[in-house]
Amino acid sequence: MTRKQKQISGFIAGITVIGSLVFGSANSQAQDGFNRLLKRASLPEKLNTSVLPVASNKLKLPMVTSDAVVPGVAVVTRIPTETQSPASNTMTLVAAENDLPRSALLRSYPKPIGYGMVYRGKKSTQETTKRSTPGFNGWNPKANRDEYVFDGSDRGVKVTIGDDLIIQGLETEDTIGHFETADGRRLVTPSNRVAIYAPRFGAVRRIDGVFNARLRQPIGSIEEKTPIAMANGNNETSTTNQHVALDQFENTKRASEFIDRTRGVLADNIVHLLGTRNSFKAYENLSLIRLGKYSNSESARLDLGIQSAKVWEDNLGLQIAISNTAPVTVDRVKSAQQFVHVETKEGSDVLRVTKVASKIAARTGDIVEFTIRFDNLSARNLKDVTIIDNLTRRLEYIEDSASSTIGSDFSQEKNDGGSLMLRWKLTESLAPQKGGLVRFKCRVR
Amino acid sequence: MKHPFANKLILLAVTSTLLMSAASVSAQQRVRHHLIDGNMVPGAAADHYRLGNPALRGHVQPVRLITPQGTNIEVGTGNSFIQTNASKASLAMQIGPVYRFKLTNVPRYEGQSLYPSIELLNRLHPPQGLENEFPVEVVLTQDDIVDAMRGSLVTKVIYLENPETALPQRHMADQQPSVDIGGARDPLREAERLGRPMAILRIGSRIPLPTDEVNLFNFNAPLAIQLPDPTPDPAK
Repeated sequence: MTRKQKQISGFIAGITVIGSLVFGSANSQAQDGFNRLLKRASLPEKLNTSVLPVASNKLKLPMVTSDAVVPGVAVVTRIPTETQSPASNTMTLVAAENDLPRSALLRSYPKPIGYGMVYRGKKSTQETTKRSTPGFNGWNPKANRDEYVFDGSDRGVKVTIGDDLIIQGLETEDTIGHFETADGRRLVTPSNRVAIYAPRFGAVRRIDGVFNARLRQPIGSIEEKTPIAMANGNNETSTTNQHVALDQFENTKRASEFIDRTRGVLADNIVHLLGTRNSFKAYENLSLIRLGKYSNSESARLDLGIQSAKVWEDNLGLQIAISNTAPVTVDRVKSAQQFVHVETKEGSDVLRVTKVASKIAARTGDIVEFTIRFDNLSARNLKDVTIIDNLTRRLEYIEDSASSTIGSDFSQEKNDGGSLMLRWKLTESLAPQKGGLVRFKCRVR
Repeated sequence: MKHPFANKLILLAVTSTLLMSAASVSAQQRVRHHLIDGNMVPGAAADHYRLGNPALRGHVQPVRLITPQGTNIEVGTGNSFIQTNASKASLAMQIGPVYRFKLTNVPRYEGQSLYPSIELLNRLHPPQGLENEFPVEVVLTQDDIVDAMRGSLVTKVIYLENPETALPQRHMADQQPSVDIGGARDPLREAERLGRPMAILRIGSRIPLPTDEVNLFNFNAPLAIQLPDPTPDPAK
């Protein structure tokens, strides 16, 4: 007997002892099934190491690798052992094989409480986790866009304001601010884009019925016997059609890199006065929202929402355009809350519009709070500042939830998407280095 | 004075215009032949989806099966069915196999059993840690059950709505907007038109015969392990 065989047989014997201790009262059929499983799966020692759940009802099972089992789904159940207290939350991975004898397993074990994947290989757990979760780490923005509800930015046709204040190019999801400069020009500033994970499902139904159809078709009774006069000749096959198998599949190709075009940022370290009496909510507790000032120390906390924000595409980044100047595009994505860095130059009129949402994921019926912060980053007054949010069709505005920290006239009107367009028009000019907040609530439908 | 090449230029322009219009007409009349459709045998569509997208292979996707209140869902595995004692169940499924379920204690048909099947076609990409909170929702309504009991085969293709064309209406929890189509139309094509097909639910009134090989009746599918229910929203 080789050394490896000795190890395996010793391990199986150990497992059998543990199994008999834990499931001593199980019926003989279930015990047989378990024994068969052990023989077939040859569970290595690694699979018997306990794994800790992150919460009592949520299982965080690290990816397990082993050469000894067939890769597949691993079942996890709660098994108290002699060394554990009954209140322990320790879980034990008990089986891993696609072809395990399931009925016997389920009869002999408590109800499974989780699952995980077992991969082939000898990498460490940490390395395996990185390698084995391509779906979550290798994001595919184009493929996943339909799982999100977006609000903000200026998608599609660029929003413009005519001389008669008629807005053109305003589509659902768009959130913009527009204002009049000291020299009479009217400029538009879109906000950043907020993504909320909120998949919604529908169904297409078809009903196929079975019906009886009897058709009697009499045979005309035709009979003719034609004897074969002569059969002669051996014709060999001259051509043969051979099935040609597919030799290539076209697969989807993921993005291999993100273009980072973050520009140098001028930080003038000016603390903006808000003049607001409202208290800030948890999701608004960012210095950008509170004070209009970006702080690097918040980046770690903001990274929590990185999944949602990665749905951004290069051409959907926030853009701020002042007439006759190149637009500043922000496409460095760090979280659901986006930062807007604006390089100002003397004489420019710049309105910064930043939008944050209270959730990165929401189910149908959930209420999401939105906060839009706007700041005058220029050295001159901005007149007739108006903030507009054209809600997407999955967002339903909750009546009377809109508020503003600066005096404004709020109005709402139906839009093309069956939702509402919200509008805040400031009653006074926005002084240099001043800003404000507007808030509202929406229900995801 | 007429240019010497004027006639030739006009002839060239007319010819190129005719050629371009003919090309566009032929492009418009091109008939599309789809590799998969909603009339294929159970499992065939999922196989094609899995072959075409490597990210789907081996992925375990939570699915939430919702049936009328009072119904008892049993999950098919091997040659038996495992009780869940619930009318809503979250299950871990893979893309490719066809999963069989047994419904008992169905309202209005308490003494009878139904055997729907679910074939998962695609996966979701929720933020990490929220996989169980956002499963693929498959809703089996009382109407589906009544139609199945009348002897019909109900085929439902569950799709992920395109948020840009979604209906601006709110529906109640555990309900799903459904579109009925005629027998001549393909439910998979219609679902692709409305969003991203995620699963195919089939339910009829067929029951396994004593002579049937139960493993085959259950499509030899791997076990759909039951997962914890999504966390209820305390605000609701």
